[in-house]
Amino acid sequence: MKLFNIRKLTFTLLCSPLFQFSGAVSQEKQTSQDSIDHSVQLVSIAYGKLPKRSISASVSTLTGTDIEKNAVFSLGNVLYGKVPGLIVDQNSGEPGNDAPGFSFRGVQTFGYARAPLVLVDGFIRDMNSVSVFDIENISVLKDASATAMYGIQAANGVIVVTTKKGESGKAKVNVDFSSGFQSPTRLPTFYHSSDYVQMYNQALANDKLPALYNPADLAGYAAGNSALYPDVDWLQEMVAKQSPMASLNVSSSGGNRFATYYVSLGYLYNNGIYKNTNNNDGYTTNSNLNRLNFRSNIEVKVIKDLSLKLNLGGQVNDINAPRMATTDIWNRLFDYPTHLFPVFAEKGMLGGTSAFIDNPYGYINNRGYRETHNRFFQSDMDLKYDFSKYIKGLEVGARIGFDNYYTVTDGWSKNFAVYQIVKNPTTGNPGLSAPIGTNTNLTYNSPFSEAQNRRATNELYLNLSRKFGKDHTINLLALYNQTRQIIGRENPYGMQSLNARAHYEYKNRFFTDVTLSYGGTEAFAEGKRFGLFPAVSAAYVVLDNQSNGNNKAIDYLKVRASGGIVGSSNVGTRFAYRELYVGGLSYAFGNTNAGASTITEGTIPNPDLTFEKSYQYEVGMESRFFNQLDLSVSLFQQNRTNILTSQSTLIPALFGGVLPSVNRGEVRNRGIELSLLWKKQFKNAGFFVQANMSFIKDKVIQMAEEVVPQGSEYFYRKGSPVFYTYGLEAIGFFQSNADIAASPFQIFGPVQPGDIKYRDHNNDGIINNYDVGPIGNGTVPTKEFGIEIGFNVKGFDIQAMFQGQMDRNINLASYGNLFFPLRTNQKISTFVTNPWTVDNSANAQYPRLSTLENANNYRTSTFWLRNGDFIKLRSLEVGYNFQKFLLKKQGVGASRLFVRGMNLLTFDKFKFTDPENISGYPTMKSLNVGFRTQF
Amino acid sequence: MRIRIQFGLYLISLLVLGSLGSCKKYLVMPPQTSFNVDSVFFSYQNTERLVFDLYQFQGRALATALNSKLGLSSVATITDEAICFTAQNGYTSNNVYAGSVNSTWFTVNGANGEDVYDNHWKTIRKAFVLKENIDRVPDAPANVKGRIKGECAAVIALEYFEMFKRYGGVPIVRKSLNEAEEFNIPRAPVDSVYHYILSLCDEAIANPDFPAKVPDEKEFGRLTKAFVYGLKSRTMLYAASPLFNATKPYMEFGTNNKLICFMKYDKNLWNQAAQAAKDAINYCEQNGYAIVKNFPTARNYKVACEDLPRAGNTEVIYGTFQGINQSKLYWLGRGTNVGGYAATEPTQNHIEKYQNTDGTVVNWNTPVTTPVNDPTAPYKKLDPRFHISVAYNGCQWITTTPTYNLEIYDGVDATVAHGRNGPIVAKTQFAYFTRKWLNGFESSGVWTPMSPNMRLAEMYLNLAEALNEANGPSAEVYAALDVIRSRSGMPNVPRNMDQAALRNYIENERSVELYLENHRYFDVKRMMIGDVFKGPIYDVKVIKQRNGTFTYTKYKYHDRAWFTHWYLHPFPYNEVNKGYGLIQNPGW
Repeated sequence: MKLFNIRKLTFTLLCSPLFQFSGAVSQEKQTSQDSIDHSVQLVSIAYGKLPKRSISASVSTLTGTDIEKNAVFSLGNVLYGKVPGLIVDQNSGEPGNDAPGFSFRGVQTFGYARAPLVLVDGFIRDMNSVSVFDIENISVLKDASATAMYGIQAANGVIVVTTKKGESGKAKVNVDFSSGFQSPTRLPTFYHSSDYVQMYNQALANDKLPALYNPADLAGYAAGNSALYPDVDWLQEMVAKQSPMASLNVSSSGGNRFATYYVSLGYLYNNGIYKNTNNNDGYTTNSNLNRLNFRSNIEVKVIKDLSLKLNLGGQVNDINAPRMATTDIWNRLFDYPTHLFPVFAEKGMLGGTSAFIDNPYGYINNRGYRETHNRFFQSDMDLKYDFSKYIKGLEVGARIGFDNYYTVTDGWSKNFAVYQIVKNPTTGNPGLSAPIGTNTNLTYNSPFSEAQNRRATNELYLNLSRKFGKDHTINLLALYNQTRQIIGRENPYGMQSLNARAHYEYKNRFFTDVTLSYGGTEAFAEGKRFGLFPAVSAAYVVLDNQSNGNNKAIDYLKVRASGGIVGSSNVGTRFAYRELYVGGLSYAFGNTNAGASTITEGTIPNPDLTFEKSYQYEVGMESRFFNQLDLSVSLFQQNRTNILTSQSTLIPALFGGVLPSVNRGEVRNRGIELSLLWKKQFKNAGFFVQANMSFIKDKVIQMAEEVVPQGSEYFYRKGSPVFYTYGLEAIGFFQSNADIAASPFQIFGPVQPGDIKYRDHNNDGIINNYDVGPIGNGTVPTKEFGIEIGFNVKGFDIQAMFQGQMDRNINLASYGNLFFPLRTNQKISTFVTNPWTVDNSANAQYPRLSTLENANNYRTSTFWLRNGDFIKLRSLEVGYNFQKFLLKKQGVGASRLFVRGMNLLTFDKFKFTDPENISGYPTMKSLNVGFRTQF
Repeated sequence: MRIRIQFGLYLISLLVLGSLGSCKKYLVMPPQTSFNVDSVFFSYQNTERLVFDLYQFQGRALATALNSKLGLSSVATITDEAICFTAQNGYTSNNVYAGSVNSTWFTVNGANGEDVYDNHWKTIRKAFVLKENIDRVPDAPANVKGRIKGECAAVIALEYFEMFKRYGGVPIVRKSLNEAEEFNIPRAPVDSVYHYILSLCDEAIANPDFPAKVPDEKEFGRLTKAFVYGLKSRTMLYAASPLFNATKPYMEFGTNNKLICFMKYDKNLWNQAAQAAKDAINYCEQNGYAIVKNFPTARNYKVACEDLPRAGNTEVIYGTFQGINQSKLYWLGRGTNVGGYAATEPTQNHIEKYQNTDGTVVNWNTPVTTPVNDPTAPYKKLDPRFHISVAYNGCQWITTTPTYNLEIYDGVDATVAHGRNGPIVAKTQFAYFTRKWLNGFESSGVWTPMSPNMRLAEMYLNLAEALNEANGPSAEVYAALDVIRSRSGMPNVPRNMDQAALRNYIENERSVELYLENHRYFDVKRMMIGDVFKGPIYDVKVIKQRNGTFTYTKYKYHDRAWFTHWYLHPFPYNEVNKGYGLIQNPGW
């Protein structure tokens, strides 16, 4: 055992997961608190780690301590504004269904997949399968040089999540606990019955239809809520003011020279926001999430020169929800009338009418519930042998990763009856109608869904790191990867690649990487399956006054540049090279209208179908001023080619077949990213300001589009950003019949005074779809920023994180139930103010109300496009760190008590619902109290 | 120690070898779970399903969810036969009324326009692929293969006829296309398309395996030789009509005149059309088809239009159940208060085409006042076909208990209650509802009518028209019309008309007999009497008086747009812009 090389052991343990060149070890030194030394801070990159200084590619990183400061249920929700260029789109706050979406460096393609590739400990995994407490760091690999090792899957960027590893030394136990309440950031509001009935009569008058509510009705509603004239605020009835949440995590790490470990166990509880859900025997219909997760990361020195790593992780989720679909529930909460029936017609008897049988109270509580159980199990093993005694610096290793995911949803359903309150014709008193529908008992039934996903990855690698002389360091990595993924009942997804990277350093000042990946997938025809993805990058430290102790204005300056090609194989169709005859729509023959099944020719094969290709270029710099201010800037351009685009607009219809899409689209995307850190620590106090900004704009270069009439060229998406909003230009409301007669004909349907008037964009005297043009940006912003500010005085500290998105629009036409009043007999939201009427024509802010479908008004136009810019206070934390001496006696280590708020404030112009989550289950804000302690 | 190292090396090499061993054939095509062209033609069972697929886009008379046109109304609503609820934007017939028809929607969007140009070509490709590959099927007898070939020819002929009547000359495709070079086929002259349709019909007629009738009633809905005879008659009638059979086109088209017009008048085409109609009648009647006339006269028309062959409908040559969804039937024309959407409602113009059973007509030009509490008085004596086709004020809507009589009226003032189906109470817009195809629905609650695409009655009308155009009034013409009229209990045609009067009479009779069966729109166009589309379109206002009488006052509802360039449909704008020689019809 004495033969163990202690230095090498330390080396191995430090350089997880795969390699690290020896220079880093020698440079290790104690960092000062107030600045992060680029030559020490190790950053995860593709298949390894490097000191920040030595990286020639574009990589942004976040550490575990940044991540733990967030009270979230999905890891993705910690990333708002944290990484320049990574745009995170907030989703609903529904327990178990709140994972956000990502746009990496804006929009790079109009093709199928835009989400970045996520790896956890080197394997493709769901980011949200990992607990926030188990994260060591998250790296976002941005340019081709950083991502090229993932070649054919790398074009949308790569997020590398690394979990915590054990450290040798005395065993440490960390306990984190927090608990608090959450409530919706915003909920829409609707007009009360008294206003509604008046507006409804007005709408009927606008439609030239007789009034529905007579003066007696109007007076009845004006008098306020009563049995015959109800006024029900469904959101108030069914949505709680607040709901609890809690989190507990215990982790332990330690080890000796032979083995280290990190183990953790966590529990999360997130309760849904529905109210009155505990009236059923033995079950609740409220949505809630109970999550248990564990992780065990072990590293063992098996024998001399042979090391073994075994990482196991798992998560078990139990998600409860009302039986009916969430979107249907919220549609009813938003749509169901205030004025027709009360919650309960009589005690225990729900109100309703034959047209409104889904009384939201019953819809949430009396339709049963559904329970989703899902679990992730992740395992990976890395076995590495050090061949240094034969060839200096050579390591050979193999890695296996095997993951399993299982999900099952069980449903228990029942039905309920509603009762209408009817006026007795003789007495005028309210009475009850016969039941509409029937009350039934709980029965087991659909939705029953079950799916199992598996992924198996095998990798072999060879790593050579060596120093030549004093000045030259090289590191060569060759890696073979094969991955098979099985998603439910889909055909397995296979991936295969051979990847190599050469890293060279000269005098710790000049760094360069050359990366080459040759990878493929069976999704494409032989000959089109594999692609070669090269990338090259170089960095030079121009100034480094830090290490030689000279204090100048500029302490450190590194410049870098990179270029390369990466791919995206997820184009949305697989096996397009195969000839296909598929089942068609059934057709009825004979004496009944039962259909005979048919077969029809499928899409014509496209043997040329292949992956998208991204040509990426970047220049950047990293610098430090006055030994306290870090600034880094990146400029990049990405040209995505081979994007699938439809041919049907180009080939004559007389062909008669279904034409496949072809790889002909192209998008260019350019941007600048800035990141600034100003950090200063005095003896008893300190502060920091960290800011990120990105300005990114994309443009469609090539796309198959239909040919439009001359003069309507603005119709083309070519030249505009991918998600730009196209619509008509509203130029006010028609004020009179004479106005209508004098204006161009609007094809969408009959118009009346008070309807929206559009501009004749191509001056052809008719307003039709060819007057549709670009009217504003979509929901993907071109500017995003995040600012984090923190202070500490003695044991106290406070931190606030703001995130904002600019140059972003909300298209109200996508949320008809909130913004198109009465269209499908729904309520009128208070967003609708000052609608057009004959008496209020000059100052009207909304088109005339109508009880009919109004295809002229209810379509995308500048009228419905609203500014969606916002700034949110994503997190705010006030904490107190107990001085060690206070706690030492109890055997307790560093401890912290904190109050933490998430999403507490939103500043925007929209001011109706959450600008990121307009309709449906609301986004949540929360306030938690917690402590962390170490034994 | 050495052993341990070797153990480590061994472990690693095991992993290396294990991975490499499996990597050579790692990426493989997964097992094919659907058919390819070889496997699909390997069994008759599959091939038959391809035959069924030929019918996917076939037009149907009934407007239903799957075969909706013009925003769920019917093509009849852009003729003088019917009108749709005009306050409903979704019914795009309203755009037609306003003159807003263009090449970006009228033949592009199936749900909103009148046609989907692309669908004709999809069906033609399916038929060619099937016809070209059917001989590869190992387990089908020769006569079955022969029948399918005949059926394919019939389908292609039908699709070409549907394009011919809408667009004039279109590209001629004679096989399934595969290479991109083959796709660039320009429009052919309209007489080439005409002759191509006839040659396809003749091919199907000459096919000995192609049956006159479906051999099994389970196959009802498939094309037969009787249909091809009928299609030939239709095609020749259209070709002989003034739209194409003229020395100059409806609009000057310069060097492209031949794409839309024969550029000569050939009277003989009428004789040929008459002969084709006679051939069709003879062939059908020799093969078991007959005009339905053995039910009571009030019922014959209903059986002919709505019922199955096994329920006694001997007249339907081609009809279908496909896409007829009972729950969607109400789109047709019931008032909104009886569960409908008033998508297709009869106009007063159409009502006036019906004669009384004694051959007289109701005078609507002055307000009609009924006796006390007898709202149906003006309609009582009308043609039985009226009572099958139209629901009106006072008629019994639901005939089973509890019965339901329509009350499509308003009270004259506050002292007279408004009718429950009238404009004020029920927001109905017009005084008539569609009844055709709903006769069974009203009483049984569960009702799936058959939708006829060709009836033998049409052949008699074709014969009468072609004979009158070829040689003027004759006993043969009158006899042909009397066949249609007498089975509904209508008196014989007066024998004293000149050619022009008889022409109008035949046109009127076609509109009555073929109401809502998608003929009127194209009949008017081929006859080049498009001005009838302009209107004015009339409705009646029904008022209940204090004394219990009803007054029916005819009033003009609106005028409609009609332009000469509407005689032929526009090709989809995008299709023309592809630039392969698809010249847009004039005026679009």
